[in-house]
Amino acid sequence: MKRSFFKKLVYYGVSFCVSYTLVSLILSLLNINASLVAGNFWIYNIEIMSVCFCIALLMWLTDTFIKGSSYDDMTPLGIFADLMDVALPVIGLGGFVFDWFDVFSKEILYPIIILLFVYFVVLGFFYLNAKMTEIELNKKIQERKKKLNNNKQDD
Amino acid sequence: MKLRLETSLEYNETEVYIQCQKVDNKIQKIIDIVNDDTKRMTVKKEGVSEMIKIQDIYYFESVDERSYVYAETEVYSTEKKLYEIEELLKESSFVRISKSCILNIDHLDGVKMLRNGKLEAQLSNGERLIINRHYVPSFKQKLS
Repeated sequence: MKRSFFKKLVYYGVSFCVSYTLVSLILSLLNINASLVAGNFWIYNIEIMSVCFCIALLMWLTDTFIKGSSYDDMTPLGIFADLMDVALPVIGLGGFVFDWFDVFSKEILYPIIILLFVYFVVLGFFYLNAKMTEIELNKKIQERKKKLNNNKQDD
Repeated sequence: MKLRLETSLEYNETEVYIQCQKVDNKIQKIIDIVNDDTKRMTVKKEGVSEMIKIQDIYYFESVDERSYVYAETEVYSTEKKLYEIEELLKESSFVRISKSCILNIDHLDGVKMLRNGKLEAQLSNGERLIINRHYVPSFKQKLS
């Protein structure tokens, strides 16, 4: 129990570091930092770090309390929780606290649309990949079972 | 078929010697019986030692530094450590699937991919085990 808790903590700790690095990298590549922050570099980076940290924390909570880790066991509640893991920090912290966008105007639609698009594209990609691997492995298992049964019948 | 049996206290190890023109079904059965005897393992249940066929074992699990042997319905314990069992069975149908578990793929019914990259193994006795991400490549290799 303790080991599994620690392992999960490490996993989501690494996820936080990776997501923060990727976001910083993308923003630097798009040259958004320079134009947006102008003198508030550290504050802006701490804001991004806080949002990434909250996302990792919510993902860890979702993983701990909402079971059903197979693609076939996915429920609407699970999908909603997944979306909220990202939506709450981005809209709540980014929109209300850090003023990245006006939450009471049409601007709020942009992060929501991007979130939905990215989520379902990524989910679809991973789902197809997982299904293909699953089918391939199960085929090998069935072939092996068939061979074993044939050997038993020969005996 | 002639049968010659020699018993003597001088023999330290039992030796089976077969002379034949070709290996037919009958001879093969004898070979299987002789070979099968080496594919057994001493396990303990409630303090009593017994020998079970390795092929009947579904998986080995290490819990609190003790190793357990799981057959279809029975659970036994063994003195051997998991790494020793892994070494002993590396040429067989057993494969390490997590730090604490070695699975016999001959008792596997199917697998399910999980969202975190792990696999869920469904055994023919209805049990389910998790194959950790780190061990998925060696598991795939064993299957092929």
